[in-house]
Amino acid sequence: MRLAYRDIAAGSPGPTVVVLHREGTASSIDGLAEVVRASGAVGRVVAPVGDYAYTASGMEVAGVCWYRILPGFAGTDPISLAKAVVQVCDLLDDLALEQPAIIGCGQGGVVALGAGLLRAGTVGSIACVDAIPEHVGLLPAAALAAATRPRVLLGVTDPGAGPTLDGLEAQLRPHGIDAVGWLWSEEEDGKDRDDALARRIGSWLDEGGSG
Amino acid sequence: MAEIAHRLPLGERVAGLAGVAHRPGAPPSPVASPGSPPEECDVVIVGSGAAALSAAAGALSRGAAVVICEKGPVPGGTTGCSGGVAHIYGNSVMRAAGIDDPRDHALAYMARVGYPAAYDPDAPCLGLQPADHALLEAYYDRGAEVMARLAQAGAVRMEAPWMAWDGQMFPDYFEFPENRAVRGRGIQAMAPGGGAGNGGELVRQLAAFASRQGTEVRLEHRVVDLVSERGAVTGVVVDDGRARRTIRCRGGVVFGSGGFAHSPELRERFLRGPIAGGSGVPSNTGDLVEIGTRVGAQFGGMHNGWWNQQVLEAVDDYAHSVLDVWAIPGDGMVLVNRFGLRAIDEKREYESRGRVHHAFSGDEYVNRVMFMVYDQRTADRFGGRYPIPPPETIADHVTTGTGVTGLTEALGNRLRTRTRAAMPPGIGPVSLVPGFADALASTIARFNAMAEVGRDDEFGRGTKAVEFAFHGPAASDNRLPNPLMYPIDTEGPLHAISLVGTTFDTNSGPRIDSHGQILGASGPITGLYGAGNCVDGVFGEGYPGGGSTIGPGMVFGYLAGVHAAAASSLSGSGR
Repeated sequence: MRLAYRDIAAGSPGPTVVVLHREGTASSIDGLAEVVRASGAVGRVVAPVGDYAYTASGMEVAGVCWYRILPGFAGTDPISLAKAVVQVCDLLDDLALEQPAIIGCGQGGVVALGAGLLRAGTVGSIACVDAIPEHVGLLPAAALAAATRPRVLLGVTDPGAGPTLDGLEAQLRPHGIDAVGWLWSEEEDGKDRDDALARRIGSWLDEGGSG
Repeated sequence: MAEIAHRLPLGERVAGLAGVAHRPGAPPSPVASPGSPPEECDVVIVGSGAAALSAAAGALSRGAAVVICEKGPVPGGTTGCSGGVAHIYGNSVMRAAGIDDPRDHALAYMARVGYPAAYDPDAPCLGLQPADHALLEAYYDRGAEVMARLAQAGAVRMEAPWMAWDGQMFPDYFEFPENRAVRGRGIQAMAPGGGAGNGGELVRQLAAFASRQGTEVRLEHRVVDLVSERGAVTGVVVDDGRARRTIRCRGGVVFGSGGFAHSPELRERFLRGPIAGGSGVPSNTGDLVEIGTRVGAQFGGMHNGWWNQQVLEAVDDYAHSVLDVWAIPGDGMVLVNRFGLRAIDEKREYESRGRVHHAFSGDEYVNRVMFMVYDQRTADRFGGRYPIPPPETIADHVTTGTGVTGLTEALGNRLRTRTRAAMPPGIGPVSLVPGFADALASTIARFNAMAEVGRDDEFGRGTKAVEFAFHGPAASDNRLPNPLMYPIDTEGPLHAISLVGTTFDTNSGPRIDSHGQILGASGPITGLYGAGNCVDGVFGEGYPGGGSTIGPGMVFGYLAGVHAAAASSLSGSGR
């Protein structure tokens, strides 16, 4: 089943950005999409919805997430992660977007890396925010071994929750994937994390030209 | 939109990308080079869901040397995708809450749900075959005891009540007079931080117990055959994706390997009705059917499964997801067939909704595809609760039209594109009857009138506790007498989602006795055991309440593990 998605005209001259929400309830879909629109560097936002009907931790029927949390395997099920990556790749293929950027948060960040790397010839740049490093390590080998490498931004806005820049970089470096790191700092970037993230995404997209 | 090259099914591409060893079309591995002696143990466990790992716990708690072989690339089987609920009579949660669960009432409830045609409260064995009745007795008598033994062994404490959103213990799925204890039979594992653990947590705890005893789950180890000597099972042949090897065992082999929901061939051979597949793990391809046949197992009812529904577009035999329609959200919503008629109380639990697809009338399965029809208000208020997409999304599985006429036209056009090749195996193409629009308009008009007074005279929607548990909180604007019903607005957009009948998994296979021993033509087959969805289900064709899959799997799995370990000890070779 094709992923459901929102298609939002963002009004700026920037690229189309595919936004992959973090896990949670349906309301979590809006959060990152709004941050990306607020960057002011985006022409169009495509925001698919992870189709795993239950939240990561149980059978809550209102939940949305990208893959299954299964104790063991660094905390998740790599097969369901591969499924989410394939579904996002299918959507990228179907929509035939021109040099989109792909930005994900939480579970969506892991899937953004996987799909963005597998579709490196199409995707211009990837931003992966607040992903669990061990989950990144469970991405399919074919994604991590992709010959073409888009620009990759690794962001951490909630270090207390577990993700660390060192951890994320350590997962990618052995595969020859160089990434730009960004750690949100209240002193340097301002108290409002979403505002800071929007600014960082905006500058990231501007630095990358059309994508 | 760019033209898309033909794609293999999603699941097959996922399996390929992830490098899953035992995927469709993967050739068998060569036999390992001879010379090295086969590995030996007391008990071989096949699978790693609740049934298999409870069997491992039973055997390990008796000191047996155990090998656990899991065909799939992740542990846990379908249990690991579930809520991890076990349906256990007279459990410790019920006792603590002061809920009485008398044996005669519980047996009558199980018999009526599981064997409705045979059930006779005044007949010996309640009208059931004595062997079937004996299994129900064993389940009642041993269920709470097995849970206590698992806790005593340090494997898992199934002591958390399965709770509904409203703070009440989840109710059973039927409310017959025979059922004295409608709430409390569903129990879950105690999570480390308190509260209830889901199926993943249940698997984690059971696997961790095995690991503490020195036994790890061997992933991508598919048992492809048995080794038999003088009529007794003494080992297995395992394909680990690289080679086939023999593992010999002194006590026996316990299968907890799942049913055959993901085998189109076995579904066609055994199941009646249009069954589109399963929503459990894709490794449920019925390995025990072929293996059991080779050693002369006696098969039970091969037509049973745990029924549910899936969105037509989501059906995939190898999709690695549990995307079933667990509950149908919404109050301004009806489920109609191609004749535009309702066929069931839409708010019933998944099992009853799944079974409605099996109805045959006239010349056809009249409910082969059911259409979930709802209005814009329902889309806005319940959006995000699968299968209703979040508001303002473009969703391929939703068909929309203006009013009944517009929806009928859009749905008809869509169905015309679904050729036989584009439909899941066993379903076939479906079309709306010529009078569909008028029939749907009448159906909605009747529903709306009933919603206003709060009474569903056709199917009794909103009369059972389980419906409210699945529905969740009432919509804030619904102040009608029955919060599960609300008039459908036919002036604005109407939406439809196509649903087909599927299973979590089948529960059909070899018959077992109260020790979990698989029966042959003249009694138990020495050294061969089974539990869970791979064997003939203790509940027959019924689904008494949440956890009816995992409960019997754990109880008879544990008992099988204990029995096999004892058999190994008797052989003088126990660890």
